[in-house]
Order: sequence, then structure tokens, then C-alpha cells
Amino acid sequence: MIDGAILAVELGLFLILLLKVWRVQSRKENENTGFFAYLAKKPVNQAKDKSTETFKKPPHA
Amino acid sequence: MRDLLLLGFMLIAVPMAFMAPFAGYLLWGWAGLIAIKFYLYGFMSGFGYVQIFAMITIAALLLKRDRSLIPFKPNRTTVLLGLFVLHGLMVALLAYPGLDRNWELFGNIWKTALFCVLMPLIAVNRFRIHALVVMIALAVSFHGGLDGLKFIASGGSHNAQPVASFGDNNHLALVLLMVLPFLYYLYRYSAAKLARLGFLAALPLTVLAVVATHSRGALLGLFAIAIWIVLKSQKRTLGLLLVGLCALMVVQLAPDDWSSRMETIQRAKEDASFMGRVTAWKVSSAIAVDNPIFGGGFRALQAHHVWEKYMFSPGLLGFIDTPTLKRSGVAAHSIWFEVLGDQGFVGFFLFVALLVNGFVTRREVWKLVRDNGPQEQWAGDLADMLAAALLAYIVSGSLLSVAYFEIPYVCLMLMETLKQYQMRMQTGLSHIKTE
Repeated sequence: MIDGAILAVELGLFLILLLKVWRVQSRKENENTGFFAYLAKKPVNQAKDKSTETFKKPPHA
Repeated sequence: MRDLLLLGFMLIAVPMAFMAPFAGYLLWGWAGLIAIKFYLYGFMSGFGYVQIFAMITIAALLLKRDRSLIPFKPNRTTVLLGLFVLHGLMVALLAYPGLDRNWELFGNIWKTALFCVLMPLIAVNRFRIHALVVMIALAVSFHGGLDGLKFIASGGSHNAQPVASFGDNNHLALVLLMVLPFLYYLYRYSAAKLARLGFLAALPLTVLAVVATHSRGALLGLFAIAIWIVLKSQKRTLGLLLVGLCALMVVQLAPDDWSSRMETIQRAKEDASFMGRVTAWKVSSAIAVDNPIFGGGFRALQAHHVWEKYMFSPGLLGFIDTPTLKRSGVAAHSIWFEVLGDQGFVGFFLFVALLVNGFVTRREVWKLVRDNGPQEQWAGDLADMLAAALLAYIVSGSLLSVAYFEIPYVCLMLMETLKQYQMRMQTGLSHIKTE
């Protein structure tokens, strides 16, 4: 019972992902929308750590 | 019922794979990781889904149905992987006769390499890289979610056993471990609240599934991942909290026999199972000493006639006193000695070079991220999580025969793909629109 339910959820979620990929390619839909959209900026309230250090500023116009 | 469910899924997915090759590529990777046919009992269980989706994807790519493809350009990871595969071909050709899985394992290697080599060409922007990460997380956490829920439902008595393609419980544990950093990354970078909650829920379920495998090697890998995630996390407090909650959950829910089994890690020298492994390492190294360039062939150690030939040889570990195991069919129980015995010193150095290259590439990704600006921090964070997965592989894999599992090679190539993307960002070529 658990196996079948989890399989259904898995197939459903993966289908959502595949549909998004197909719509982005064939209908030129905006990539970053929908259930699996990602944060364009880094998550808020980040504490600095050694990995990030200081980013180089973009060149002035 | 499950077969009908999958049939419905395939009726939608297969045409999509033809129309959008990247969808086919995701299906190819997903089919390999989820091993879906082992969960079916009816008319859909007989198909080779990996082969089907691989052929559809390659056909669609050759028919130029994806105009976003980047031309092939050799990179360090692809070159190392290519050399590893070529060397593997020579190993398989020159192997000791009568090795049951010689060509099967070489087949796994070149098929995995094919999937990996296409990755930087097809995962050309952040959307596709993100989709690839989601695919890996969905496929592997299927197993984690399933076994985690069964563990809870059984009150801690569920013993997680893998499907046939994963090997034994230790192998399943390693696969589950390696997906934990992916889940953490997706929890932090998913925009939709429901998706974030889903990935967050999958994390402790997968940890419980690891506990359910009763794998001691996995416990060590779990510690390694936990330390890495806390050290590298932007939100150290959140990282510590998550790790602490998972640890508390494990302590509270794990059954007594699990705790007793984990305590034997401290008594390794007295543990017959561990000393048997050291014997296997000795014999593997002896095979390599006798066949330094091409080793003995894939799984040579497990062939009776090869074992008999080398079982009294000290190899590289003559200074350790080990019991003589007269029985054959013993696995190497270490990725290092597995590759050493199978592929000789050349194969071993290529394997180590591939793994070291992964961590070197991580540093290069961060350097590029710093140059490109804070909006690219996601790439650095993803690189850190890939490194966490590789660290789990190195720690737990030191006690398991998992040298030819696909996930570490996928992680290595994903790291390279991130680097290639950041390099294109730097030169202003990143705006490749999918058409």
C-alpha cells in the first residue's frame, strides 16, 4: 500500500518536472516558474562565511 | 495497479522525450537511479527503461531536436573519465578468464560515462542544472521516503533491503547518503513553499532509511556529511539545528540491535567481519602487484581460481596480521582496493585523479562564482553539496565495493557542468535560451 502511494507521488512529481521542461522548450515558457522554481537570489539573511568572502564588484559603466 | 500507473506515465513521458531531448535525458538518468522495474509485478516489469530512454535521447539529439546543445569541448573531467573508460576496456579484454561479471561491470562504466559526457553539452543553463538536481533527488529519495516511512510505521523494526540493481543494504545506504546534500540544497533554493517543505520532509525520512539499512559504513559517512554541511552552510545555525534534530531522531527511534551493531565499529580489530575485509584488501593488492598495469579484471577477487592463487600473498599489506580465508567470493569491501585489484595501479591512479579532480573543480567553481557576483552563489552552494556527496562516497566507500556506482560519476560531471556554466557566465555567453 505504501509502495503504491509513494510510487504515485513520485511519478506525479516527476511528470510535473518533465512537463515544465517540455513547456520551456516547445512553448518558450518562463523557466523559473512553477512547482520546481528556484530562488533567483541567494536565500535571505545569509551570514557570511569563508566560502563567500567578498564578491568582486561589477565593472562600472 | 502500479503497472497501469506506469503505463499512463510512459504514454505521456515517451512522446515528451522525443520532442524535448532534455526531458529524455532526465528520464534516462531517473530510470537508472530509481530502478522502477523492480517495483512492478505485471506487464510493465519486463522493459529495459534505461536503454529505452537512452536510445530516445541520443536519437533526438542526433536529429538536432535541441538547439541549445553546446558543441563538445574536452574538459579535465571528461578527459579523465574517457581515460578511465579506455583503460577499463583494456582491463576487461586482458582479464583473467572466467570472471562472471567482467563485461557486465565494464558495460556499467561506459554507459555511465556516456550519460556523464553528455551532461555539460545538454545542461546548459541554471534551469537545466536545477532540473537535473531535482531529478536525482526525486529518484533516490523515492527509496529513502519508502524505507523511512516503513521504518516509522514498523516502530523501528523495518530492515531496509535494496532492489537487485543496488547490491546489498550497505550499497543502498550509500546511495541514500549521497542524496542528502541534494535534498538540503533543494530545501534552501526552492522557491515554492510546498516544494521546500517536501524536500525538508524527505531529509529525515532518508536519514531514517539509512538507519534502517543497519550499515555501519553509512553511519561514518553520515557523520562526514553532517560535519561538512555545518561547516560549509551559509546558515550555520540552521545547519546545526537540522543535524541535531536528525541525530536526536536517530537516537530516539533506532532499535537496540541497531545501536549494538554500530558500537562494534569501536571493536574493529576483534570483529571477524572487519578482519575478513582486511584479508580481502591484502589479496586485492597482491593481484595489483602481479598485474600492475591492467589488474586482474573486474571482480577478479571474487573468482575462486584467482583467490586461490593470491590468498597467501602479502601484497601491499604484509605488515598486517590477518586470518587466512579459504573461501572465495569475498568482495573487496573498499572502493580503493576494488579498483586496485580490478584495474591495477594505472586504473587506481585514474580513479583517485577523478575524485581529487572533483574537489579541485569545486574550488574553481567558487573562484568563478566570486568573480561573477553574489547572484551566482547558488552554484557555489551546489558545488559544496556535491562535494559533501563525494565525501560521503569516499568515507563510506572505503568500506564498500561501490567503485562502479553511477552516482559519484554523475556528481563529478555535475561539478564540471557547474564550472563550465560559470565560465560561460564570465565570458558573457551564459544566455543560452532553450528553444
